[in-house]
Amino acid sequence: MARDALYADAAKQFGRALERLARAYESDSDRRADLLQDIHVALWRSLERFDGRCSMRTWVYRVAHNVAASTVIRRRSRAPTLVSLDELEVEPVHPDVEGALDGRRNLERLMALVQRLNPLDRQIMLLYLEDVDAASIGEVTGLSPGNVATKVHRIKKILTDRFQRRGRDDR
Amino acid sequence: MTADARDQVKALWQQQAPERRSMTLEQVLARARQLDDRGRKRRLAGYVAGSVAIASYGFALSRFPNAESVAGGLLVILAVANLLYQTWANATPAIQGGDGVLPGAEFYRRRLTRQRDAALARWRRLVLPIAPGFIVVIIGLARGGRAGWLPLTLIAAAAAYVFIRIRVLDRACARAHQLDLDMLDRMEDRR
Repeated sequence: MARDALYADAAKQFGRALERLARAYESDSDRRADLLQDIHVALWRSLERFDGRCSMRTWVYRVAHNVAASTVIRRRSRAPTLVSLDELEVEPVHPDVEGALDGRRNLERLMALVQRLNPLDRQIMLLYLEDVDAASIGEVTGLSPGNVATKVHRIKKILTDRFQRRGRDDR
Repeated sequence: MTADARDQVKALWQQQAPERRSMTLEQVLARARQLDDRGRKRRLAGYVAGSVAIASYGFALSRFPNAESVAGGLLVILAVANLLYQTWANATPAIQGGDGVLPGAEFYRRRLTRQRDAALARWRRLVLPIAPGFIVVIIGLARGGRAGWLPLTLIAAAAAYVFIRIRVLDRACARAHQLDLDMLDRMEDRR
C-alpha cells in the first residue's frame, strides 16, 4: 500500500516532467505513449525498494531515464547515428535558419537537437532543461561534479549558438 | 547568451502543452500485467517454434537414407533442444531488479556491455551448435544418393551464407556498442 501511495505522489509531482522526457526520446505519438506507460510501470515496480537514501526526484529521474535509454539501445542498429555534446558543440550552425522563429518552431528545433544526443548526454541536457542543479544531475547520472559542470558548460554554449538570435530578437 | 535568454529556453521546454497522458494506478497495474503476459507469450512462441522444429526434424529422420544423416539429424535436434533450454534458463526481464535505479552512466554501461556480449555470443550459442549436425546431414544425404550433389551444394552454400551473415551483422552490432562504451570511458576519464 505504501508503494501505491508513493507512486501516486511521484506521478502527481513528476508526471509532466516524465511526459516531456518521453517526448525527448520518442517522436512517434503511439510509441511515445507506450514508452510513457513503461516508465510509469517501471517506477511503480521500483518503488517497492525505495528506502529514502536518495530524493524521490533523483529516484524518479533515474528510473525514467534508464527505461528510455534501454529503448534507445534496443533500437541502436536502426536509429540514425547519435552524437555527443562535444560533437554537437563543434558542429557548424546555419545562420539563415536562426531568424525570427515562433515559440513552437523553436521548441521543435530544441526537440530535434535533444533527440540527436546519445542517451547519457541527452539525460544531462534534459535535466538541465528541467532546471535540475548540477549536484542533482550528478546524483542521477553518477557522473562527477566536474564532469557535469563541463557538460553543462557545453550545453549552455550549444544553446547560445543555436538560439541566441531568437533571444536577441525578443529583446 | 544571457542567463535570461537561457531561462527562456528552459521555460520553452517546461511550458510544453501537456498531452494529458497521466496514468491512474489501475492503468499502471493493468499495463504491468500486460507486459508480463507479453513476455510470457513471446517465450512460449519461442518454445513452440523450437518444439515444432524438433518434431519436424524428428519425423524427417525416419526418411533419412543412412546412419550418417540420421546421426547428423540427431545432433541438430540436440542443438535446438539445448538452445531452448538455454533460453528458458536465462529468461530475464528487460530490466532486472535493482538495475532500473542505478545511476544513468552505470546503467548505460551495463546495458551496452550486455548487448555487446549477447551479439558476440549469438554465433556461439545459435550457429556453432547447429552447424556440425547440419554438415553431417548434408554429407549423409549426398552419400545416401537421395539428392544430387548440386542441390545439396546449393543448400549448403545458402546455409553458409546465412551463418556468415549472422556473424557479420552481430559483429557490426557489437562494434557499435563497443564504440558507445569507449565514448562512455572517455567521458568518465574526465572525472
